[in-house]
Amino acid sequence: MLRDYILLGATLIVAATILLIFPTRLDIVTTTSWAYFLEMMLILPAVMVVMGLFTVWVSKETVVKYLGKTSGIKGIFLAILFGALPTGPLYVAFPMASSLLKKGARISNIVIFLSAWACIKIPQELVELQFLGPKFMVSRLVLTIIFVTIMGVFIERIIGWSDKKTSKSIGGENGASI
Amino acid sequence: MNPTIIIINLCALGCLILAFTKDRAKTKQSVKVAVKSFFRILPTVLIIIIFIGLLLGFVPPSEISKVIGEQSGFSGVLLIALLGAILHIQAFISFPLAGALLKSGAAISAVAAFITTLTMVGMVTLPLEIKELGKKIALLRNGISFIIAIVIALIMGVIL
Repeated sequence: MLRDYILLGATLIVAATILLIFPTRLDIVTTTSWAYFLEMMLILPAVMVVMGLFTVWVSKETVVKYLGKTSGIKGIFLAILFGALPTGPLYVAFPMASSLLKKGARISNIVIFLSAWACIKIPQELVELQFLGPKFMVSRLVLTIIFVTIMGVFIERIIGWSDKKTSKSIGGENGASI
Repeated sequence: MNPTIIIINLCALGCLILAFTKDRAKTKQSVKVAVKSFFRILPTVLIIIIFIGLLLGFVPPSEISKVIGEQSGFSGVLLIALLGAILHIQAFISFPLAGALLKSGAAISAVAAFITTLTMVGMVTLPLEIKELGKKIALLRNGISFIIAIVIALIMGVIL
């Protein structure tokens, strides 16, 4: 965190130096930055509040419990839903994915969950809507959901082929049927 | 003030009030988490905002569009997709930058590739991902995500 503030200081110094050398650009640079600053300050606190609430309310245990035992279409849907909940950066999701893996959850669900966590966050979509417009946001969201689902199933197949031992159990719902 | 800003703030306020009526202690803890993450992310936000100002103030749209615009074609998309895979910025901070690039001459497919690799592919977090999930899953996920990002970007370039 301190490192980021030092980096900010360095950026300010560099920017100030550049603007001292080219004073004619001062106006356009400050106007542009100020407009983006205002826009971000109107959005960011709200995004943080929503994320904070979900981080505290939806426990890691809940996610692991539900995702660990569901499969099929319902599993895919839950994986996207839990991934999209507004909680924390990606590195928070790795330990959760790891415990899901140990619990024997389907690889496709784990991959879909991780990818959804990375790119389909609810407040993130709203910020995308703000800066890139509805057409861009909606088409990217739909395409991402489609391709992430395909990728999850595909990676599960590849892993299944490469470890011959587990390939049977992936074919039929964890060998639950006799 | 535009609708999106109002919606997101109302949504946050609504969630906060609902949470407060259910459990005060938990809500206080949530607000603490929110304040902490706000100040953790603030310097990066300010750096990006300064960068956007300098970029738009000094680099004319014609130059931006030469590198990542329509005329740059596939190489522009690939270049910015690689940049997105290497950089480690939280997605919602990257949207203002992406929006600024789009307004000043970048192609839709290039901007889409940048955002998508930025969120889905993480070179910086890859060692952690390997440690938690094993080499096979982590490498496959990041590799295929990179390809997917480019496919999504190209499709968006065609449909928008």
